Amino acid sequence: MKKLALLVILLISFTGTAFSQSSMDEEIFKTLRGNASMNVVIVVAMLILAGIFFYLFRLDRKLNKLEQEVNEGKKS
Amino acid sequence: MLRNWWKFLGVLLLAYSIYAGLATPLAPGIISAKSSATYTSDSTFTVTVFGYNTRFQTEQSGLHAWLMNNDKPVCAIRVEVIDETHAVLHFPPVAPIKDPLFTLKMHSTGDGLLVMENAIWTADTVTAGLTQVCQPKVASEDQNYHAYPFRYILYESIRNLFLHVPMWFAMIALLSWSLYNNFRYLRGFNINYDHRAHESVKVALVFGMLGLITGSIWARSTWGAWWVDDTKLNGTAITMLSYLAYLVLRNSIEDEQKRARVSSIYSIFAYVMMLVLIGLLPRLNDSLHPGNGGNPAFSNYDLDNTMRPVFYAAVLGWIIIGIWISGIRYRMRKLKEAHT
Repeated sequence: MKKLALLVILLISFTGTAFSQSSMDEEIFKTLRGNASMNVVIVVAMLILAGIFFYLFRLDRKLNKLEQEVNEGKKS
Repeated sequence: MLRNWWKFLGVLLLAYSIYAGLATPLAPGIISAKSSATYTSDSTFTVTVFGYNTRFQTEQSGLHAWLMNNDKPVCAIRVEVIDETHAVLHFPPVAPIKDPLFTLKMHSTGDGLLVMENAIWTADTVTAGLTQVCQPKVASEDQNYHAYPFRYILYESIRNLFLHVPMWFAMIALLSWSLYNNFRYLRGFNINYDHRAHESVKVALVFGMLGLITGSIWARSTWGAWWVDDTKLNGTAITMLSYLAYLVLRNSIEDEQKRARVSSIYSIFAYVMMLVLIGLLPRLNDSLHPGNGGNPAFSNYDLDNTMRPVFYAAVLGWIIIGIWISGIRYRMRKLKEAHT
C-alpha cells in the first residue's frame, strides 16, 4: 500500500514538471493543469486502471487460496 | 460463449469510450487575453490572445476579432498574427457602456466562432458609450469539425466526464442491484440473494472510492482544492460511510439468517438515504457540480452531442464490468461455502 501511494505521488509530481513550459500563460502549463489540463485526464485514467487492476489482483489471490483449499479438501 | 455476450459488450463499450474519449480533439478556443492598457478610453490599445488548438496563421485572411460590451461590438482595427496560437489585436479607444467588462470574440471560417466571456477589464469609469460600433461578419456559428466543446478552465479535462462520472453510475447501479437482491431475499429468505447483495455492495464501494479519488484530483485542478464544501461531495461521503457501516453490521451478527435479515433492512434504508443525499439534496442546493441548483447554464455544454454516445458507452461499460466482478465474487463465495 505504501509503495502504491508513493507511486501515485510520484506520478502526479512527474506530470507536473514534465509538461511545464514558459509561456504567456504559465498557470495553465503548471503542475496538474499542465498541457491544458490533459495531465488531470492522464492521472485520473491511470488511477482508475491501477485501482481496478489492484482489486482484480487481490481477487485473484483470494481465488488461488480458495483453489488450494478445495484441492486439499478433495485429497483428504 | 453465447451466454457471455454481455461481457463482450461491456469490454467493447469500454474500449470504444476510451478510444473516442482520448482521440477526439478539443475544439479551438481562447485560453487567455491580456490587455496592454488599464484605461481603454483614451488611446488605442492591444490585446494579446493565447489560443488553444487554434489556426490563426492558416486562417489569417478570414480572421477578425471584436469586443462586446452590453451586446454592442467594437471591431479590432488590425489583427496581427504571431503564430497558430498567438495573435495581437489592435483596438481603437473604447469606453464601456455600463459594465467595465468586455467579452472577446474571434471568428474565422476554419475555427468558427471563438468566445471568451469577460476577457478584458477596464478601469474606466467613463460611460460615454462605444463610439466605433461595427458589424462583425459571422458566416455561420456552427462548428464544421468533430470536437469536444472548449470550456474555460476545464479545457482537456472535460474528458474526465468519461472516466470520473461512470464510476458513480456503476456504484449506483451496483447498489440498486444490491437493493433488488435484498428484496428478493426478504421475500423468500433464500440466503443466496443476501450473498449477492453483500458482494455487489463490496464492488460498489470500490467504484465509489475510485470516484472519490478521481473527483478529488479533478477538483484540485478546476476548483483549486482537493475537497470542497459541496453538497454532492459530502453526500457521497456520507453514503459511502453508511454502506461501510453495512459491512461492519454484517460482521457483528453471528447467525446467518439473522444477519441477512437485519442487514437487508438496513441496506434498504441506506439506499433511500443515498437517493436523498446524491440525487435530491444537490438539486435543491448550490453545487459546483453541473446540472444542479447553482449553475444550470453549464448543463447545455456538459453533455454536448459529440460527447453523449461516448459517455453512455462508458457508463454502460463500467456497469457491466461491475456486475461481472460482483458475479465472480458471488461464485467464489458459493464455492467456498460448498467446500467448508
